[in-house]
Amino acid sequence: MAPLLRADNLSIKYRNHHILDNVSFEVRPQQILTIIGPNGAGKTTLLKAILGLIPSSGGTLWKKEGLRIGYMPQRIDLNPLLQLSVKDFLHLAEPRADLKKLQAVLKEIGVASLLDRFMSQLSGGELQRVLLASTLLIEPDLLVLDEPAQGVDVVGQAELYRLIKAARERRGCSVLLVSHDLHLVMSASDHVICLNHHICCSGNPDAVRQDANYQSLFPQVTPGLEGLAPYVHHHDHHHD
Amino acid sequence: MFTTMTITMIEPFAYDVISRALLAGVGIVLMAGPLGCFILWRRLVFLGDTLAHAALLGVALALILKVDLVLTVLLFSIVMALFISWLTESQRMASDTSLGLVSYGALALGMLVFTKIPGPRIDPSSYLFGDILFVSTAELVWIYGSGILVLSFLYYRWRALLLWTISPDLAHTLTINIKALHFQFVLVLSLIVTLTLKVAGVLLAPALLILPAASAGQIARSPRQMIFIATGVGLVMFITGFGISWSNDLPVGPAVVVMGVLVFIVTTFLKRR
Repeated sequence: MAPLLRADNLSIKYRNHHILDNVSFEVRPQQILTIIGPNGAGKTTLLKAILGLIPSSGGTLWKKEGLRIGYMPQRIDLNPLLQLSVKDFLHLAEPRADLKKLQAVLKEIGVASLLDRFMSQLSGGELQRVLLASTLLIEPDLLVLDEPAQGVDVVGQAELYRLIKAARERRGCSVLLVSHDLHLVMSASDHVICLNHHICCSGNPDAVRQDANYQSLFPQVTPGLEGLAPYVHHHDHHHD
Repeated sequence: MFTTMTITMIEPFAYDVISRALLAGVGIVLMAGPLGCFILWRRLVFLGDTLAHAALLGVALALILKVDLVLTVLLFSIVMALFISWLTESQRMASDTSLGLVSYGALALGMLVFTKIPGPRIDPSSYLFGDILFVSTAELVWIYGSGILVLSFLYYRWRALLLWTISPDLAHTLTINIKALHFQFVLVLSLIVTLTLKVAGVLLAPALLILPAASAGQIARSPRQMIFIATGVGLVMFITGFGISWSNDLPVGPAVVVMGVLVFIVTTFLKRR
């Protein structure tokens, strides 16, 4: 099947500094593609280029015609003076949706009870779920999620990735997500790209775990996470 | 009817001054309240402050070049606002740094230019603190024309403005033209700052924008409610402040601002749970 999106040798420069260097990949229908990489690797820049927020300085970025993208930003500004209810927020994202549709999408993400709560009073996990619900509201072909699990505890993270997978199954959309945590997200992905300004390695999660480039980028493993995800113990406890 | 006529016959000048000043002040708070809410939500308080301070240089330039005051100050504010955007976006200067630079730089330069205006020395204090008692008909037209413009802008761009407040990137992906919206907002903000100078001068004008919205923010339970409460608070603060200044022979601008602070203190007791 034809891809939804394809980047060919995409490069982005800022003041002669390569943020992205010859990045090529494609997003296939119903695929969950995860971009991992250390802080400052250019992950968010890549997403912003895909969304058309920043211009590329080289290469091409092709999107399927009429591609509907549901975007979940890394951070939203919830000024406590802006008393925005979850309902108000969802209405901003999709003004044509009626109350029934809002309730349905919240139920799908397991937060039906939050409809009348204020956005600024949600916990980290609740907020991320409401944001996810808002991206589904526009019935996207592609979900673009920037660090969807940040500020969420480990159990909540596993649940969030389960919901993303379930949404993909139910709606048949593709998912492009960015993360700097590794194990939970990798077990939820079909394809992983390890990015550090250029693509260090890519492939299915197991192949990436075995890759020497991946292992040198992420030499440490957070203790305590081992039991929560299928995870191959690949480091030697040696710190340099 | 009878009373009105009596007042007009006894003191036509005073009546005219009061009604014009009230008309001007009411027009200004009607747009300052709603726009102030967006300024608080978007965290642009310091930008409003800077544009007001910098406007003194605009005033001085208009007086020295003998050109239209409102139009010159408006254009000057727009240029300053775009200059600040350029400093923060293209030059990557921290926004509080660029705002401080423009704010104090233009204020100080304005004070120097003031001393060089030909003719008898002009006291800048009416521009520093405002002089609503001398509102011209042209200024009233400006105020109400702008009022219609500002309120329609907020009404028709409501969704875009709120999304922009929450996350410009998200707004962009929901097909909102952020660059155009930002420019329109800067235009509207410059317009209102320019007109507010008449009431409270370059030093206190931002208070008329911020105080009603800040009070409303304590008690409102939705963005729309905050807009309406801010408008009401603005009216209360202006009319009581104006009354107190008239009956006690006090300057209007500071009296209105002090009333605004008092209303704010009252709303902290009514704060929503």
